[in-house]
Amino acid sequence: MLTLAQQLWIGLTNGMVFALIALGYTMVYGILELINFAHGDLFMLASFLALTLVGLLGLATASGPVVVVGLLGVVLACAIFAALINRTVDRVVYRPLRNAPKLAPLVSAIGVSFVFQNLGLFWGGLPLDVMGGGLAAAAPKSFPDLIPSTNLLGDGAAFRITAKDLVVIGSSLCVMVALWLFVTRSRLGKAMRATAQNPLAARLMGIDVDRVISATFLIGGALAGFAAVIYGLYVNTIKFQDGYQNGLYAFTAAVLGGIGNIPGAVVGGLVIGIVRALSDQYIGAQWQQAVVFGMLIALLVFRPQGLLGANVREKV
Amino acid sequence: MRASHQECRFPDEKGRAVQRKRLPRIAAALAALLLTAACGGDKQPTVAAPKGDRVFITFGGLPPEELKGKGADFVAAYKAKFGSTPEGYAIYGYVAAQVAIDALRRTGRADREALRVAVSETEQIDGPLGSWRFTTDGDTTLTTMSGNTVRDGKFAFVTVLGGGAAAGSGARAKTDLATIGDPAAPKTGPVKFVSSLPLTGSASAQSGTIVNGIRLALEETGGKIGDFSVAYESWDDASAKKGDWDPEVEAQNADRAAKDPSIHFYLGTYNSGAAKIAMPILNQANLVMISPANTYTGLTKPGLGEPNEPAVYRPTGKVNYHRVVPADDIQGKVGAEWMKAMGAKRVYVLDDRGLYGKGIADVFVATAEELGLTVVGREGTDPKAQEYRSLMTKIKTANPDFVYFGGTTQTNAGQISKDMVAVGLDAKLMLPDGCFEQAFISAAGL
Amino acid sequence: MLRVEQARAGYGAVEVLRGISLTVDEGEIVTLIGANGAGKTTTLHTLSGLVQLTGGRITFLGENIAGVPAHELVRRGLVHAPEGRKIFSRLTVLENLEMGAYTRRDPDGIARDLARVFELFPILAERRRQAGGTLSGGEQQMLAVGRAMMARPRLLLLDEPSLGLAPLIVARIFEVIRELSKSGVTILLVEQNARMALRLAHRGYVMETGAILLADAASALLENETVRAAYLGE
Ligand SMILES: Nc1ncnc2c1ncn2[C@@H]1O[C@H](COP(=O)(O)OP(=O)(O)OP(=O)(O)O)[C@@H](O)[C@H]1O
Ligand SMILES: [Mg+2]
Repeated sequence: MLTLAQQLWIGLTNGMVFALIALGYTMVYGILELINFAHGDLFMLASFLALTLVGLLGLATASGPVVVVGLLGVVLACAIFAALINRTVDRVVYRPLRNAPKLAPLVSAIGVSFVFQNLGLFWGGLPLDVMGGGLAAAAPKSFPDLIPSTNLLGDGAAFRITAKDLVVIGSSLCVMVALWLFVTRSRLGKAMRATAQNPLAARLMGIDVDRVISATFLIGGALAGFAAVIYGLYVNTIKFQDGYQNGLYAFTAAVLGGIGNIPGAVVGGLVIGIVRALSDQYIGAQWQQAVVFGMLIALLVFRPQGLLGANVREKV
Repeated sequence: MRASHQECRFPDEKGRAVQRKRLPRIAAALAALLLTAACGGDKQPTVAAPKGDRVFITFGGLPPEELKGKGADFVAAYKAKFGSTPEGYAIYGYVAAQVAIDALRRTGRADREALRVAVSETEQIDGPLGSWRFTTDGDTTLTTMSGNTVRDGKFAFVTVLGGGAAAGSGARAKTDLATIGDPAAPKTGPVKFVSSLPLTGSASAQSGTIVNGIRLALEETGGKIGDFSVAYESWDDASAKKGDWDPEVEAQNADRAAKDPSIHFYLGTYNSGAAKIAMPILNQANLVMISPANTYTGLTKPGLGEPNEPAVYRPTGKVNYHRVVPADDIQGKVGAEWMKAMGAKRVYVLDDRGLYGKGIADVFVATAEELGLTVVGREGTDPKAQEYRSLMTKIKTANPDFVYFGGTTQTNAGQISKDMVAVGLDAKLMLPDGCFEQAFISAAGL
Repeated sequence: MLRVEQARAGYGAVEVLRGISLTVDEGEIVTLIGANGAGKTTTLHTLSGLVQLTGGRITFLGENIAGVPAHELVRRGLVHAPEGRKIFSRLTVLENLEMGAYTRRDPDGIARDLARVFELFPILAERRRQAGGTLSGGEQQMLAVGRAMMARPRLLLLDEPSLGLAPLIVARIFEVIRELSKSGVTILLVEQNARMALRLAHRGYVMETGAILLADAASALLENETVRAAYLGE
């Protein structure tokens, strides 16, 4: 029973990261019907920036308050970095293809994904101490353990909650709530939802759709940047293929929740995190991927619109 | 050996100690913020709490620092030439090249059949690895291994393991090389050595150091072996696409070598999977293959791999494949012996489901059970998984003293090490030589 | 207010509008009728900037608006309620109406207009918290008209507001259009229901395969033989 609870807790924590990345997929898909294959790799690049900054600021050996302030700075920098890259890619690569057949931006996104991966590979090979300078660029990079993994319930307690878990869950929840408020309450947020539901009508309401799309890429990117720092702090290892692996799970989360649906992405992320954990516990670690994707396929057979999706885009 | 190294675990232990005193306070503050329930207050930091050594790595040989005699000379020469310490496998590249050079000297003829026989009858006395020869299956008679741990962010030698006589290691009759092969084969001119190793991608650090070892041996000949002039080409059997060795590329390399009559030695491969592809191709061309790194048992040892191994790699029936590293059966075995000697009773065995990792883990389990260790769990991992907290939590409930992981740095040994700590799994970790590289230490953040 | 001269437009290589000219003066209700596929919707799309003008000229309030993006035209008072309602189905009724006022920054004015919409269509006030997509067809059409009103249009382009609605609701919609007109909104109305449209409008244009066939006072068109035969089903 306690083991089950523990696995749910671990799944929930992991699921937060998937959910944050999934939001970027789902928001862009919602507006452009584009599966932004490069999104996972953007997340990976941001994690490299996070590691680089943590190294440059010397946070691994800094004192507590410095670590907290430093991390806030790193989060901010990574969010801005990923947001700007994401928007730039949209401007330079996807926007010129706005009226092209859907396959064109999709293939371009795959291309961007490769470019990002190679950038990550290059970055990993930089002669920085934190990169394990001089080692193979492709090798996994250790992300300093800045938040304690001490069991807050006591060392011998059967259930384990760490400050790290709380930071991951708490900060992710804050970000998600902020996003929800933004999307439901703010003018731009509403414009985003309106554009996703009916881009033509949105234009006729006086919404500058290009601006909304830019904002979507900015926000999706910022979420990926935030997720990257959280991921680094939680998993403590980053590598250039992380974008692929996490992107795949996050994309699955988005589809599971109903692609284009914002709460759906969060639910999908959490479900995947939890299914992974339970599958490791009760089925076997080697079946993790099979279980997750098996579940996706089963769900799509019985509920093609995803868990929360009702969203076959209305045409006329 | 166990409890005495707490004070020197991290290079920056002092800095971290300061940090650890303050972090729980932040943690407590955060906890109070996020979870008003009073569950903080625990001041005992447990992050990677060094209660002595936790991670143990077996290596099929001695680490560079422990090499004596000609081995130590090699390390010195390597440092002088390349400006860095050789990684564990460098010396095997060096010895593989020496074996080839020596065979060419003894034959004096660039004839593939004569060279094959000469290589198989190699006997090194007081060489860099000590004294050894090849068995009739092409295995080294060396069984000396080392048990290592990680201290101060570096590998630290703990103990010598194994060392007994290997099966089939009796002395071999020497053939009169002059009577073998084509007597009219050239006795002068160029002789080409090639190596086929994964130079691109995640194993490139290990491959690079092997290539350096080969270069060093060839340069020591002054570019001349008898009347032959030496040429060496380092081929890549990896592709950017795979980021690792690529079956297609390995097959192309083997084909190219088989068809080029000026090539007389094929030094490789790094990955046992690649060897499986190259072996039958080179066997049919009767070209000598010497691997500095393959450890999968089935490549040479009948009865320890698949039923048709190793015959399937020897379509002509001749043994052209040799390796200078001890195979996994020996490593898995000495790992279990070492674990037992350290007082372990319960072990949870993981493997990465690859040829190498699963092979070693299988032998480990067999020996462990023979020795009376309880294997409390056995399963495969997903080598690409982001993290293993759930798995480690599950393992925790099995309450083992040790976790054994048959895998490599590339298949996520570093993350496994980290996540054991992250979930508070208070067990030690033992790993095979696929993790005996600096990249593992970096990845594990040790 | 609106002057279209020899406008040409189409989709890709297909030219739909082959040089049409029309004018709408301040305070007028002008209707555009024609068979299916004549190009009425395309005309409105071209006016509101959704379709690129490829030839000719369009001026609105004296300014050339060719190439001005659609969202900018809304700001200037040219508002288009598109064919097929196109409401935001997962936004609530209230949010749909708020989106109509997207370009406006006068909360007081918006509140007044909202009250007015609710007054004209009380059912919308009742359903204000309901998702737009769950409204009935007629309610959705009311919402579409109400939403366009929220932009405070000077010129309102209405594309088939009666499509698929029961006669009673059609009458209600036409009533609202008349009231809007009285309150000073200029209206260009595209309609299948030619008789009702011509009765409501001051002037009318008849369109056929991308060109203007007839232009006259609405009452004259109601009497016109061709119109009677082709569009009034007599
Ligand atoms: N997006 C488009 N791409 C290509 N052709 C189009 C497109 N939209 C409309 N057309 C074509 O343009 C022509 C005019 O269409 P339009 O929608 O303007 O007609 P309409 O007069 O509004 O007809 P209806 O009364 O049926 O609404 C038609 O032949 C139609 O097939
Ligand atoms: Mg139409």
